[in-house]
Amino acid sequence: MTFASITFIVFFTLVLVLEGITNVRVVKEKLGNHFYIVRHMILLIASYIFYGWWDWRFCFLILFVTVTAYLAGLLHQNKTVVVMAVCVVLVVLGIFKYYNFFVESFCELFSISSAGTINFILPVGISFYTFQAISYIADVRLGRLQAERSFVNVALYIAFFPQLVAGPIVKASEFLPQLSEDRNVSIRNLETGLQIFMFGLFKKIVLADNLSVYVDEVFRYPTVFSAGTIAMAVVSYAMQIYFDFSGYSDMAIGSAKCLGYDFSRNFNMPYISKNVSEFWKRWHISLSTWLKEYLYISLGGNRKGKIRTYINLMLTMVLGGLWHGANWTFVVWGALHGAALCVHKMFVRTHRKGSAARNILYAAATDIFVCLCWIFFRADNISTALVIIQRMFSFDRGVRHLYSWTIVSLIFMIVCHIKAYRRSASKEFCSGYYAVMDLGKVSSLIIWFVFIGLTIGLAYTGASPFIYFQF
Amino acid sequence: MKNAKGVVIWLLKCFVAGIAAVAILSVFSLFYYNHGIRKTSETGATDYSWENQFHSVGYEGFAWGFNDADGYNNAYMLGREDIDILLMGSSHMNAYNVPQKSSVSYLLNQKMETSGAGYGVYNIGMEGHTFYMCSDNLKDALETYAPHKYVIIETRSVKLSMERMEEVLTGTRKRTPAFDSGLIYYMQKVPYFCLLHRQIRDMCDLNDASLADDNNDAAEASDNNDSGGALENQAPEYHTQLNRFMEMLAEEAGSYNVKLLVFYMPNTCINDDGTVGTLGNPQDIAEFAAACSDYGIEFLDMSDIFLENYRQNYELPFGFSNTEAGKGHLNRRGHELVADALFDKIMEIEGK
Repeated sequence: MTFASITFIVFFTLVLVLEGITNVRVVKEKLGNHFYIVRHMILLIASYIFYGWWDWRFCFLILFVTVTAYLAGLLHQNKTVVVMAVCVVLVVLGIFKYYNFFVESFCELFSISSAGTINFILPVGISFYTFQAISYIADVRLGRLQAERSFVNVALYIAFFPQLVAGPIVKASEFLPQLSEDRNVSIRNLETGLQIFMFGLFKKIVLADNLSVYVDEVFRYPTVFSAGTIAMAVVSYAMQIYFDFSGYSDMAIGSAKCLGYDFSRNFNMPYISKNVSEFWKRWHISLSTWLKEYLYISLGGNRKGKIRTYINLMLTMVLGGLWHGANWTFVVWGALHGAALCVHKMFVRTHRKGSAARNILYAAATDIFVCLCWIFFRADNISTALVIIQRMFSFDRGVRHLYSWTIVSLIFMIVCHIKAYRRSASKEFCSGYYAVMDLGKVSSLIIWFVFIGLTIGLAYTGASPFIYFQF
Repeated sequence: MKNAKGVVIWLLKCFVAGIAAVAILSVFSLFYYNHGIRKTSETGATDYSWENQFHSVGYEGFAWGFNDADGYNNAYMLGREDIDILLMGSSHMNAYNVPQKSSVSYLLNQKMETSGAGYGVYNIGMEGHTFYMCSDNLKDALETYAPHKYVIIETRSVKLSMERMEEVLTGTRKRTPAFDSGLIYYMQKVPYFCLLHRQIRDMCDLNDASLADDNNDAAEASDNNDSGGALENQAPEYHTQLNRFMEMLAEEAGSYNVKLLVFYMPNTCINDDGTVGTLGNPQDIAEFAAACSDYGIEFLDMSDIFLENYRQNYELPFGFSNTEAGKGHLNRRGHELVADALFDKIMEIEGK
């Protein structure tokens, strides 16, 4: 059940109705002290149904991780228990996601038969909810959060369906307090949430999915296409992954908002970044925040001298790359970004405010670097990535296939960025915004309906799963 | 009470906004997806033709144009008495995806004019019309348009279906309905509803059919569809049936004193090793060509022409700037190649 499906619309409507019913005065009075627990149980059951829809066996795994996190939270004063809990969660992630990868890599290195691999089904969203579980355990241990007594609340935090399968990675300290507040399905929340959801849906099924047609073909057969076509496909992929992932994040944020809960923004116009450091403050913000707080700082951060800082940066980014998938291409991708971060750290001394022309130049250079890195992220293996890079710069002849959706997407992105730039309070760190309208006005309703109509009319109707589901 | 009134007012606003939105979306659809409304063909030359004059496509290629009075895509003005060559085929010959002046029929007309041959080409290519449908409609098409010299039929498959051939031979093929009456007819007059219908239909097809990630599978499925979905390979029976089919076609063409030319357009595909190929099986092509030859039907195979063009120019005959390269409908280059090949073939037949 993905967000872009009729099944989800029916499911979500039912959840909204049930949550809305609990908020009716008569029902609320009847529930009395059990009001919150009932609401949270509804959401928890709905989340497990949502997750079990993929494969019912996954529910046992997430329950196991939840119980581990819950108990570790209650026993947080015991360092051994906390460390063991984190290790258990990491082992779960390691076995399901990385076991076969390491066995096969080891066997390939020593030219032995990889007969020791196990036929696992990779549980959807495992990378996300294991990180959330670790976030909870760590925050409680570090005193940032009180241990949650309610198992339902902890379970809901880990399994909350809007962000379960592809993030954002919500911090426990941001979400758990919301469960104690009077948050509910309201007209205002529905108005805002649905608009954010639709914006995300447009980015996913219109822009990202139409771009995927081109990207998939070129990356699958790079030797057929010309250098220009390959370059265009690389740029297209940069936009596809942005629209796909930020679109999903918007849908997660929007659906949570409908239910009355607030998630932080996960993408903030990453392609206007003037350097790689800024890029990681704008791209997959929840992941980069998690990596910084729980990995980079735990390794020592920048507190142990320059060399150690660079090592910590590299290690964080390599592991961050590996988190995305069990493939050496992600390791290379992470290493490239790590190296760029180190270089940036080495050479940046002052934070002068640059001219507009300089900022555009820096942003262009950063985008070129990021796009080249995306080649490794997208390619099935390193040799394919190298073939693509070689074809791109060799100017060999091939099929010239310029793709109109790339132009459309680029125009859309530029227009949205310009609007955001004009509206942004700080022009130095420009922030995006959700253009939410007042749906009480006829003019807004017309725009809204036209937008929905265009989303349905222009949607790509072939199969195109969310990119980040594979992580 | 106040809340209920507010809800009613808001619902009224939604209704008004909805009407306005459909109108705006319909204007958009008019230029993005407007094939027009199908109308049952009175002459039987095709199962149906188009009611609307203006047509547009923006989802697979970008093209707009006007149909003629009979509902076919002809930009070259030709009187009925001037028709020398009748062109029949599917959506490829319907040519909605390319500008009218880039279509096979227009280019062929131009070549005929500039070369001095002077044959007039009339196109009744129609969306959804397979080789079987064109064969079944051949008699009515020849009766209606009475070309003086040739009738050309496009085929996307050379491995024909026994069942489909039998239907045509026995006259039991059911004509495709046109939905030119009732509520569905009036709903089609709202362009956005047509686009919506297409999107929902495609999404449902995705849910029903297995996902064909591999290009070859998808193209094979398309060939199967053209051959009726049946790949019976019982050689003697198939050979007999094929001969009967060709005999029928030859007789019908012969009774109107026109030469029948069948041209085969295989799907192209990009192979895993990065080379480009076509999906036609050489044995099937040879068998089909032999059957045509036995009954005096001219046969043109576009396979080598498509591949040679790719080898020389790295161009694929299918696909557009808003679709996958090498898939879907004939693009401008594809139309040029087909028009050139048909012209050369006709000149060869004429001994010129």
